[in-house]
Amino acid sequence: MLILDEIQTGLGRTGKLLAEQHDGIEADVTLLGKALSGGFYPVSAVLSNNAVLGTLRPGQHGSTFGGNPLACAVARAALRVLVEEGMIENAAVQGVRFLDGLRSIRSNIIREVRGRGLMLAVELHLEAGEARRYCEALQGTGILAKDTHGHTIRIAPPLVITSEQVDWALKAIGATLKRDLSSRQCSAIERGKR
Amino acid sequence: MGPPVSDFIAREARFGAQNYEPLGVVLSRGEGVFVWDTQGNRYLDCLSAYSAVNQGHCHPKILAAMVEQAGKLTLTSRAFHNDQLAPFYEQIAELTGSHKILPMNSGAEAVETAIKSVRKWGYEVKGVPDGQAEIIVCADNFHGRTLGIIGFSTDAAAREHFGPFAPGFRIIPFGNAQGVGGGDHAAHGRLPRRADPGGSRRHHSTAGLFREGTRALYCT
Repeated sequence: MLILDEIQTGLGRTGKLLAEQHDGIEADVTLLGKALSGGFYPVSAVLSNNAVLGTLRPGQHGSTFGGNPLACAVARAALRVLVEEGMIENAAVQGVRFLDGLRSIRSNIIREVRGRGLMLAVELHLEAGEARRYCEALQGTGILAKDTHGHTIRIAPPLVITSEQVDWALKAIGATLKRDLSSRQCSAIERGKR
Repeated sequence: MGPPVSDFIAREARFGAQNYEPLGVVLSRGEGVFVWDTQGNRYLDCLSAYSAVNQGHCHPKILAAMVEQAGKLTLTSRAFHNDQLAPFYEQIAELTGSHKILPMNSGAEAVETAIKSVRKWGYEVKGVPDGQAEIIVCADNFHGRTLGIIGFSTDAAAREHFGPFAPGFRIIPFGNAQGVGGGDHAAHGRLPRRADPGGSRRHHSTAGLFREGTRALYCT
């Protein structure tokens, strides 16, 4: 029995409908959430088959709000635009562009650039200091990104991003990652500017 | 130009639990890939609310669907049927090739639902002795913040002083398929999501399972 949590990786983020498709596998149970509502409402779902979900009988599991009409209407529209507006294909195309661009940034603070589709990350060397300082500096350039695990900058824009916007972001990110923000003073100065 | 950013942040800190450490920006509007703060500065959103706004902020067609439905009927509970659930099921089933769907609200609830369902499958279909079901998870996982889920987290910050935790989980290193029984797990008991409603079994390679980007929970 294989369960894949595609709450964050699913619905186009990695350039395919489900991330499992990159590896040619198919889970017995797939979990969706997050983009299932396009950010309007919390909607999640367990996808499986009759053998698994057929074991649940009335009274054994549920949720007052689960499957409510507002959630269903929002989710249907969210799925429809994801497919009809080519967002999954765009994530694949722009993901490659973004990843290539990030990899071409020459900066001695970058330890590794990785990603699949528009799920990207720039991991910094420990000596570069906390990634949060670079996220604060990026904020000053008009980009909101979140640090994760101390030294990694997560980059995951909406799947509707255009080539021009990717190129603009790459310029700002490249300039920021070439700065030396390794002292706390730099971070304080940057905060003071805003 | 609204009140200063520091005003919102200070008021949040006064009454709100400090379980997050947000960047010092207060957002008030979003459209597509962009968000604006209370001072009118525009930002490219490179987080997308952890991928919840893949479709872009305030997508007009989703907004229209939400507004339309909000004026008709929002909540019935599952004590009664509603006219939106069947088309929702059909759309997801067609898109993903799934045969049964269970809707919840938060992602953590979906994870908890999956754990309950596969345990039940283990006992009632596979014949696992009662109380002996084991779920195999990868180290460094993140699946949410509920008690069941953090019980199999390897992140100290997620677990510290939140125990005791439920048993029934085995943690294996990420990227090591050996931990699930020699890598031929697909050969026994696999029932892919797209399996026929009758339950015909198909063999699926699990070789690439542990590559970056997909988080897995196994149930033996």
